[in-house]
Amino acid sequence: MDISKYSVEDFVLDREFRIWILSPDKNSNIHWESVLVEKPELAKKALIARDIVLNLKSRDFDLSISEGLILWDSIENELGKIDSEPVECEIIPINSGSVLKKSEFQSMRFNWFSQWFRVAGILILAFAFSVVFNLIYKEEIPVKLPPVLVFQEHKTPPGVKSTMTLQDGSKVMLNSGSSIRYVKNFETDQRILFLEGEAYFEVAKDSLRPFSVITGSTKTTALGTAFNISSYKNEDTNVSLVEGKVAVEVEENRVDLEKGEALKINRETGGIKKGQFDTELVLAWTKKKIIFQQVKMMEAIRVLENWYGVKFILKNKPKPDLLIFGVYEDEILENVLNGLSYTARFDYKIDQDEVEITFK
Amino acid sequence: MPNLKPKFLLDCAQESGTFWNQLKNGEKDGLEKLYITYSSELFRYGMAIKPNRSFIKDCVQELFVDLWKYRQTLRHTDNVKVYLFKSLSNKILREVSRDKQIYKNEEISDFESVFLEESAEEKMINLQRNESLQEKLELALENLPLRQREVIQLVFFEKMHYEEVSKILGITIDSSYTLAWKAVNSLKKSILILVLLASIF
Repeated sequence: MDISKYSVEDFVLDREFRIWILSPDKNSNIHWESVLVEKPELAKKALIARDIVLNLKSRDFDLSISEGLILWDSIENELGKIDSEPVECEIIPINSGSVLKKSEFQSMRFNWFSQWFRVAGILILAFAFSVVFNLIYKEEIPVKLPPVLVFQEHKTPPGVKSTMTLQDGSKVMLNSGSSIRYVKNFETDQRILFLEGEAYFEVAKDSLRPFSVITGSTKTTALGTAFNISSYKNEDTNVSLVEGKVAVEVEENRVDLEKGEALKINRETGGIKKGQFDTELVLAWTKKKIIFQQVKMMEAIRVLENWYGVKFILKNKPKPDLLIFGVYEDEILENVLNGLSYTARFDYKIDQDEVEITFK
Repeated sequence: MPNLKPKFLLDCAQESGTFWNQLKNGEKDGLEKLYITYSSELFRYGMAIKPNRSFIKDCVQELFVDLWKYRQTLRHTDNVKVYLFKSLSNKILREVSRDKQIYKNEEISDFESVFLEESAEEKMINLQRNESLQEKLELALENLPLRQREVIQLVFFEKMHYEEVSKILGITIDSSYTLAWKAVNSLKKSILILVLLASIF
């Protein structure tokens, strides 16, 4: 549309105009200034349009995370109902009345060989019926497979977290770059999950079916508890018990954990170490918090790569004794890097999903 | 600068096509990922059309249950977001009009809205001087007809192009522009007195 014919409304509806008003930059400033200098009669309209764009606010109708989770639970509930509904078979209505009437009418007309007609009619009907029935029957009835163990898998790519409720009511929060695998609907006597990466479990009580998480050669078994397992590739495994009791089996050894205790399993030696853990630190990720407490630079980079789904490129090596501190809650990557760059002394450049780091 | 906020499943917007196909193949995972990606946007959009939290939650729930129920007959779509927004919009409009039919209170509600508009206008005149532009616009936005409110939400707050807007509303691109124009026109009228007064003094 020709700008010289713009009304207030047209200005407001012009995307470029709105972008200029809300976040002006050099180029848009030059563009719109030249437009308004050329056609000063538009200035008044543009001013009113500016008032509208600046002051029109959408009310915040946010769905909180917990509301979202509850809503998903009830959706899943509904889905369960749909899936358990029996498969509907097509029913072929046979209106006996109409069949009788028809043959009555026809037997009146073809009275002289009504017997033969009847027989033929019945045969034809039976044949037609079987053909139709066969056609429909074949399409509608799904092939029922014998019950086999169907594995269900949930995976989160880097930069993504996910929360799910398992069929037994247990809740699993899956950290970025992790996956769990389990037998669909679980078996009747046990609940076994395979984990790679990190997850937080809130196990629903079921004393008949122990809940086990297998990570590499470690098996953690619980009855009704909440615990966190971190077992990323090429890293030590950490089992941290938040509530209740769990038994951890590492190959032949068995260690019982009490509330507040954690077990560290060395990846290379398989050696185990029991100790206390800081709940806030271990569960920070479930609250969208990144906490670095005396963390080596390389480990911090691993955490950030996984958290934001980016790749770091190091232009030079950091000092080997460099330790990182910092707490970031629901921050964008840029802010985190900004904070770290002062203490760890580096320059950074973000380009799409690549971060270039140069240590000073 | 890219916004790399670790919001739940940020990358999903690009991957939603994959989730869509997963859903069509009967994988519940796909549905869940779509839910995680779009539920809060859908909720916000629904609330802009009809601000009733439990009603909109019900509509969102029904939308996802339907997606699962009819997953085998879902068409291929190259814009999942537009599809979801359109479905939700249809659902809300249908429910709203069904309610009207059930209670046969069309006349009453019409009367009510006329009454409300009048009182709103009265309020505007009374508070003319000291009410801020923002409050005026908010009030005017609330009093817009349902479809106009919807188009404002899509164009301004969801920052969609008219092409997408027209698909969601099920009207032509020209009609969407006209609809948006009318909505902005009403908004403009609501603040015009204030702006003119300000320019005089």
